[in-house]
Amino acid sequence: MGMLTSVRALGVAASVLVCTCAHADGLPAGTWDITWLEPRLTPASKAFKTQFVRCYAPAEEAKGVNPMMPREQAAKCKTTLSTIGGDIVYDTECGDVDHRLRLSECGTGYCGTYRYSARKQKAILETIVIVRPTGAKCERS
Amino acid sequence: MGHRIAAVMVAASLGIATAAQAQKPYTGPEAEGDAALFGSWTFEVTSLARTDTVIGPVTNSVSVCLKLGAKPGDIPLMAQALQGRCVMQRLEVKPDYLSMLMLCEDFDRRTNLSMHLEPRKDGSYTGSLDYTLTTDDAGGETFSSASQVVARRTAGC
Repeated sequence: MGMLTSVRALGVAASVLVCTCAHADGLPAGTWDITWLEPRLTPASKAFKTQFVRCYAPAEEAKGVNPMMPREQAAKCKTTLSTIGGDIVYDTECGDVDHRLRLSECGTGYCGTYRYSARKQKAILETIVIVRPTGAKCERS
Repeated sequence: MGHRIAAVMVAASLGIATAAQAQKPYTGPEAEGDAALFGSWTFEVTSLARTDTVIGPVTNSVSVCLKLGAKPGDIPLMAQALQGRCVMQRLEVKPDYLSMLMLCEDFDRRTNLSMHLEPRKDGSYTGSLDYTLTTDDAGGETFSSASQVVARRTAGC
């Protein structure tokens, strides 16, 4: 009986922590300044830290488009938006590769990680992403 | 009080860098057992990059000459973004692992860069390069990232 109660409690806790639902709130539409940090050893490269601006349109927000992924690539992939422990999570499948963007609130914006895992390979690659609002609207339809 | 950053490159075998380790003066690379491991090395790092059209793995390589007593500036392993803020504290080249320790300082966040490479049968060393970032504005939450590294001995030096 006690064990059953514990199992039920675990189930409830899990359902509170993980919500994969169509109406999950994702990154709000707007223009975002994104910092991409990838560990490298190449001294000639400046790409350890990359910054770019992303206009995330209201239509993309409504569809739950992965806001980090270039549109050309995103068009060929399938993305699921969910919330886990209060974090915004975009799971994107591109062929045999899984992408996961996980963001949590961080100051005026969001901080998180972008994980890349090819199913046929053991190695998982990951970067840190920092998302800051520019204050500008994204007018793109 | 400004926020300080400490970016640390260290093999996992060293464990978490302590303040005492951080203060240890650098006296040049150390060798135990197999000094012949010193010489020319190529490090290939596969990281996750984003371009205008795709997110995917990209491999970059850097060749370095590891010599006993080499000065930190002679070992150009750090990305430009971190150069000038880092001081090499330790470099160990041993048969069973390669390890390095670098400390870096910045203004607004704390980072930790660590590398752990182990030998494979083909003579190469492989492992991961891990980078963690702790920001105060995220309530001290830590975010991590990882790249894959293959190091090989090459001719010359």
